[in-house]
Formats: sequence, structure tokens, C-alpha cells
Amino acid sequence: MNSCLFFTTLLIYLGVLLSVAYFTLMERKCLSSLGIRLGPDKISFGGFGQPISDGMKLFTKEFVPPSNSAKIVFFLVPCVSLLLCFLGWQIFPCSSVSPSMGNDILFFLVVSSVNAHVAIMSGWSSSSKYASVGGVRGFAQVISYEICLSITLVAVMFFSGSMSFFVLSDSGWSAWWGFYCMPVAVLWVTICLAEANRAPFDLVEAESELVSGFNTEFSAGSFAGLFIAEYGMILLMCLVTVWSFFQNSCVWTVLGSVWMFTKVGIFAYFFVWTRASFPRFRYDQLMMAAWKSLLPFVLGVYCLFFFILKF
Amino acid sequence: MSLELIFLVMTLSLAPIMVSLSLLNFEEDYYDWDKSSPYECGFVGPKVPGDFSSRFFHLVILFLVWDVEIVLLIPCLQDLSVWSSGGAPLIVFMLILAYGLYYELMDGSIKWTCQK
Repeated sequence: MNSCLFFTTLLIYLGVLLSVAYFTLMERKCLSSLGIRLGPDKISFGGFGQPISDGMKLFTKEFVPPSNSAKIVFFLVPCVSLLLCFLGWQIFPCSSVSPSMGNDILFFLVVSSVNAHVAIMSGWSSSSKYASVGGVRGFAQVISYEICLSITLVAVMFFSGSMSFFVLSDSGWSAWWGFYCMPVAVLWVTICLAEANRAPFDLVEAESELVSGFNTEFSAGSFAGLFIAEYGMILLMCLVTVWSFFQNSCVWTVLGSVWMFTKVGIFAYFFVWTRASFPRFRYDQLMMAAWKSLLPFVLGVYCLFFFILKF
Repeated sequence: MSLELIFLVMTLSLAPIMVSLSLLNFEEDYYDWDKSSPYECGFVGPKVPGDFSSRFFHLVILFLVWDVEIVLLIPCLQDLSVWSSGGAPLIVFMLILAYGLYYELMDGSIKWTCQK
């Protein structure tokens, strides 16, 4: 039993790495198709070797810390980022800690909160102008939307009755919780886009503005670590979206798992689709959206659930 | 050894191992000024970190207060489903939150454009 859980955790890590790699390929192909051009298709049968060769390239390039940087922090930030991504994926039910975890939702909240610090630490430790501005911007954006994310998760806790996604799953989820609160589901997807620093909220790494934001100075394996962690968190948020608002009736069969992962894939495609469709927010519009629009709205959602419970 | 310990060691070591794969190419004694200078084109930039952004600091303090309020809000809904009392203090709490947000908005500390 122990060794079995050990291997399933390793399989989760392997699955996350492969998923992230092929998510990048899917993103490039989809963005190209949405721009009526071909994506990468030269490497081995339609581009399927592209992520692997990209990975090999990244891991064999040279690691150059900037001269003024805090070198230990500079090395550790991508490690911490990747560690947080893997930790977040432990809420997946076959990992070694999830049988004893009755608080998946809270764990996800904690991991995404700590993830905010990666942006500021990578920006600070690079000691480059673009990186520090990008880091500060990214941190401010993530903490502003973190509040809305936390209060929206209260809606999920309301339906689930506890702090775990799977308390009711023995009897199966009877309907999509998102049907009962579709505006909250739409709100949740928007906040996930903002938390993941994805378009249209991607001022952090706006290539037209800030070279590469907080990961300007990161070279080879470090950049790969930050990149994998970012896309891993995107996939984790797609998974949490499916578990919160668009559940299966039974996840523990083969067909149920296939349907669940199909839905995760649909949300991953939705992330890519919004990147191709919407222009970027201006920075003050972004912050005003968080503090003036979304935060009163999530407080209103909270009051709505309060009234449902009381009256 | 317990399962959690093995899991912890494995998770903690996996990420640095992956990032360290690129350290195989790292030669500390070959120090190239051009390669390790900050990203800039042709001149030496200003000292970083530059000025301290007090607006950003104010935002972080605001986030800290709201984070603590979230930590208080999350169990309130669970309590309401269990006990029949506790509605009125929650209403007062929400009113305080809403008034605090309104005050911050009117005060202008989360205003991000400078209007003359």
C-alpha cells in the first residue's frame, strides 16, 4: 500500500510534466490556428517532438546568474516555484497525502497564495530594472485577485459542505454545481485567468512592454522551472474548476476519468482561446477591476449564500 | 520510515534536481562581464532596486487586512449552517468590510492613475 501510493505520486509528477509540455504545444498550435497559420510541425510527425526538444534545449543551456543578483535566492526561486506546483497537484486523489486530506480546497488556497511570492522574489533577486518592475506588478496583481479567489471558494465550500471536494463523491455529484450558480462559475474562471497571469491579465510578462517581466534574467533550467510551474498551476486551476463547478457523476471509473480530463482539456483550451481573443488590460484597469468590480461582487455572492442559509 | 517522510523528501528534492540539470554547464571561474550584466542595451543601468514604491506598499497592507478578513469569513458560513445564531454579527462584519472598502476607494489609495 505504501509503495503503491509512492508510485502513484511519482506518476502524478510525471503526468504533470508531460501535460505541461504538451500543453505548450497545444497552445502554440491553437494560437497559430486562431491566427490562420501553422504552428510547429517540423519536428517528428506534425510537431509532436517539439516540447521534448524544447525541454532538452532548455536543460542544456548555460545558467548565468546576473552579477548583482542574490545568487542563492536566484537559484532557489524556480525550485520553490516548481515545488509549489507539485505540492498543489497533491490534491489529486491518488497521491500519497490525499487519502488523509479532508481539506483539499484549503490546501489549494494555501498553495496559490504562496505562489504569489514567486513573482516578487524572482523579480527582486534578478536585480534588473525590467524584472523588478515586472515582479512588483505581478505580485500586486496576484494579491488583489487572491482575495476574490478566496471568497469565491466559499461558494464551493457551501455546496460541498466541507473543505474538501470529495466529501460528497461517494454518492456521486448529482449535477454541476455551476448550474446552480452560473455567474459564480463565470466569475471563478475570470479570476483563474487573472491569478495565472494569463491574457487578458498578463501585464506581468507583457512581451511588448517589459521584455519578459520577472523572468527576464532567468536562463536555462531556471526558466524551465518557472515555466513548468506556471503552466502546471494553470492546469491545476483547470482541474479545480472542473471539480468545483462542472463535476462528473462518478470520477472513479475509467469512463468517468476520461470525461473529467476531457473537461480539464476544454478549460485549458479556453485559456488559450482567451489569450488569442482579447487585448490586454491596462494596468490601472486591471487593478480597478479587482478592487472596484470583482471584490464587491464576490462580497455580494457571499451575502447571497448567507441569506440562502439563513432564510 | 513513514510514508509522509518519504513523500516530503521526494517532493523537496525533485524540483532542485530538475533545475540543477542546467548547472552541469555552469563554470564559476569563467566570469564574463557582458553575459552576467543586467539586461540592457549598451549602457550600465541605474542601481536596482530603485525607488521604493509606497503605493505598492499600501496595497500590500490592504491585502494583508483583507486576507485576515477572509480567514475570518471562511468558517462563518459553515457555522451558520450548523448553528441558528450568528447571523447578526456576520452582517455587522460585512458592513465593516464594505465600509472599509468604500473608504479606501474614496480616499484614493487604490487609485492608479494620476488625474490633475
